[in-house]
Amino acid sequence: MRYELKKLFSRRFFLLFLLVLLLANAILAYPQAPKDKDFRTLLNTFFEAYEKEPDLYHREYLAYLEAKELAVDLQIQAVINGEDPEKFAFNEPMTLYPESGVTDGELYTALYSRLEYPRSYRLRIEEILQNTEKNLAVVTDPYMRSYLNGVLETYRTMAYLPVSDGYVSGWDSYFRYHGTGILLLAAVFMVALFLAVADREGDTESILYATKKGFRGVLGSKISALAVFCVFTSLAMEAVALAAFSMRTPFHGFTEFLASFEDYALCPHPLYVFEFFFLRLGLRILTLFSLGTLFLLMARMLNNRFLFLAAGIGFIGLHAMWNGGDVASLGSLTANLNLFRLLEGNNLVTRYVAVNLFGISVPLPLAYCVAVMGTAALSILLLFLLPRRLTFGKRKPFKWKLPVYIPRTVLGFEAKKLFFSTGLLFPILLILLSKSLVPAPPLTYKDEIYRSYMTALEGELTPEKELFLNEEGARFRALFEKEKEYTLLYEAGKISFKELSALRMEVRTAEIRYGVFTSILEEVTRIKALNEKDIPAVLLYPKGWDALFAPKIDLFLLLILLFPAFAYVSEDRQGFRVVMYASPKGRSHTLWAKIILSAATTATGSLLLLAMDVCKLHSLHTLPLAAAPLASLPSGGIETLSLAGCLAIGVMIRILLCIVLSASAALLAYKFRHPILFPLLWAVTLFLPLLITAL
Amino acid sequence: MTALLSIRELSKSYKQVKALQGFSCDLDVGIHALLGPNGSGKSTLMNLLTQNLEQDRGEILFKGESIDSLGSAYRARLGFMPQTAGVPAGFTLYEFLLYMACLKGISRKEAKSQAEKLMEAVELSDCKNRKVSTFSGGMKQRALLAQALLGEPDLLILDEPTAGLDPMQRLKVKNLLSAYGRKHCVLIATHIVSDVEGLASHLLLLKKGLLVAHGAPRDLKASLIGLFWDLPAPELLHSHSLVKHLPAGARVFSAEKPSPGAVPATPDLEDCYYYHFGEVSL
Repeated sequence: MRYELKKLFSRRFFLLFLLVLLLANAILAYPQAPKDKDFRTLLNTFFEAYEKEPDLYHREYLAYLEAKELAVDLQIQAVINGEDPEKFAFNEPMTLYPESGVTDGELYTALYSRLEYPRSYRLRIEEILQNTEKNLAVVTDPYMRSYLNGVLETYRTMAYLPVSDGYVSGWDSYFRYHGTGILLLAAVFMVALFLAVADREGDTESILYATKKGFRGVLGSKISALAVFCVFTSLAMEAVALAAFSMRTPFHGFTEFLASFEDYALCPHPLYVFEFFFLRLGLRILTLFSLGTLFLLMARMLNNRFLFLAAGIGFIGLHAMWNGGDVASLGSLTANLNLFRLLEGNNLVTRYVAVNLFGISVPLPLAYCVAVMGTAALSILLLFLLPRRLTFGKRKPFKWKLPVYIPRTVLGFEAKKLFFSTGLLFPILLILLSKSLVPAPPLTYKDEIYRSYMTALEGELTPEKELFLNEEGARFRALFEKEKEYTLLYEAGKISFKELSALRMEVRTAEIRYGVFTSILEEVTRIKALNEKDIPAVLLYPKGWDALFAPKIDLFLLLILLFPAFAYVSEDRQGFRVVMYASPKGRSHTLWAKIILSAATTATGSLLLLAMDVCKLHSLHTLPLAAAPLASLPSGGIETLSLAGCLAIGVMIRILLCIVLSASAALLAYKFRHPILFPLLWAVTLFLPLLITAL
Repeated sequence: MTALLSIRELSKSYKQVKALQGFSCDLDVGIHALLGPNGSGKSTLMNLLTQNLEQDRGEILFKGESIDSLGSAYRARLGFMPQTAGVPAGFTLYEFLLYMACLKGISRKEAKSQAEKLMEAVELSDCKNRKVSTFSGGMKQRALLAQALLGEPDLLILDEPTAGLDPMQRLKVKNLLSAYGRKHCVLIATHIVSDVEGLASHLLLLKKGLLVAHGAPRDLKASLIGLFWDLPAPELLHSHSLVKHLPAGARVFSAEKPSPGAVPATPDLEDCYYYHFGEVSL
């Protein structure tokens, strides 16, 4: 096993590939972490201060609410009197932590929503139990009955879980990040390919099989090497992702129940966060090992590098398709037991799930274990039992052959060498595939509210729209008044606690809406101010555009790193360079061809990624009013350029960047031709600004 | 008359190691064998001649002009076959030859015709559409030879062209090179003397980066007459400098008659190699 690992890690290309994966994981993880480290740290400080003197803070909170209500009253009165309500706008105080720039309102909202959490958690579970009982009375399908019984059994226990009302943060976003799983999948895919074919291609296989350990011993050590690789690579990738996240967001609540996080409120198991962290890691390693053995079997049976790559990509693609399928179909085997959900591990804890196995309801953890361990056991068994010639004997010629296209120009030959001979096509497809698999972050409740308001207000600001805003403000005020009234009625014993609770739930929801509404009023003020200065700007829902224009790392920049490594290092390693360079067109012509290919591929790939972004963001947020001026976006400053124009300039800059970077990378690689040093230097140069920002 | 290739005071060092020291010679039409043990500087010389390395000192002239100023025009008249070189994975033999022809600036039509002829010449016509990566060692050598011959170069530089070939193939390759060497300049680097026996018209003996001897094989062999002796087996003693065993005795190296039964031997190229590269002292 030691030698198998040594063979693996002594390959510079493989080390480079792993380095790129680690780097990619850091780059992918970093922007996924919420960028509010300071705010979260402040919240934690505030929570600690509250725990020391709860009464004092509660009194201050009541005073804050009173002042806010008074301001709303005055605004409504102003609207009725035909005055400008903005004169009475509530100025959010910043008395708690003035130097932080965070308002008291934000802190109190966060605090009281957490304090309310255990109660709302219990109410939510009780509601689930009630609804399930109702459903159970009418459902006849055996699977559904069994599933509903499972729900009842699970959540009856979970209803009494002592979830935390303290400050928790970070872990929910971290567990939602699934880039690590996807990249690990790529790593295991490559390792399986290497373990299956390297000895055969290196002509050492016959020597190894003639030794005392023979075929079984060698195969056993390959499987052990795969297991060790899965463990260490998973740990390394997890560490990188965790480090990238911790740069942007603090982690709190490691020893709390997972259900203490809003996203995991329906967690069907009484798991602590730390338990889930290690369980998820363990399950991921197990899943990877299982997949690794399956890939090893595939590589052995197919016995052809390209067929294996095609089959592997097809296999992964199929799972990706299932992953994007209907999540609501609870019992679906393909939706719940596909690679991506298994590697993510979240499916086990977001809600109670039982797969439908021919009408029998099988709890997901059991189905998971059977699927993963069964795949590993069966693959290993087949690897040992299948005739050796499948893998290691002479390859059977295919009866059908793909037509061989022979290029006519140096550019054509270089393209064929680069994409097919060196296998660069695989990482390109992998990048495109992984990008298409990474879903856009789902809309939050606040986003939904924001979108519905902004869609209604879209376009220029008219008196009708202003009236709508005033009416909406009045509606909120009335509801907040009603809460006060209900509290008095409850204290007088005229209404039950249940009635009061129901209204309070309604008010809490309205408070969230009101928070969004306030930000819309601010946006209206901003647009008005711009229009007064004759700067064209209109109201629109900006989230999609903001996300599209937000600075992000283009994965195809990584590809620019890979290009020289693939193009020059492979030529050097094969000893082919000396033959090439002894020919009249083997130097500058091939260099130009490489630059052109690198620029064209990175530019095309980059634009494809941009197109994917546009499609995803359009379907999620919509990208309204493309002709609107850039100043319409809160982040757009006072630019009068249209949104579509800005996008077009962005496209041109991308293309230019690809050309410049490709040319410089190719020239540097041509000059230095070092397999590790050059790409590393290049990586540092490219990502140094990001690193500095992060630190 | 200007020689096809003139090498003047060529030197190349790698840090402290002097790989080539003031190497000079003229090469013209014919087969020139560059003989020397491992590490003698053969590969360095070939890399300098193929412009894969830059010399520290000295110059190389092709038809009287510096190859540095000629650049690709020089390489257009050059064919090079390294001892081993991988071919891009997935390329068939035919595709590989067309690729090399493309790099040599040969037109597509001409390239196809030459590729067909050369595959036949190196007896690989049957493997035209087979991937080179699936070839045996000998087949790969012949494929590399075929690419070197593309475009009928004036100067053909070959590094161990017969390594890994079976005796029949070795003979055929030697015949092919012999015919080619009648009209072109061929430089073969090797440390296997039998490879160039009867093939080379001119020998260059390289030792630790220095040209220790050069000339026609006949002249080099003639210079060693009286230094090699054939002994009957009973007379062979440990004190004798043994060159090689013979069916009925042994050949030894000695400045004087080593024993009463010793017969003066006619030196061959192996003796010549032994004289220049063996640990001998007179």
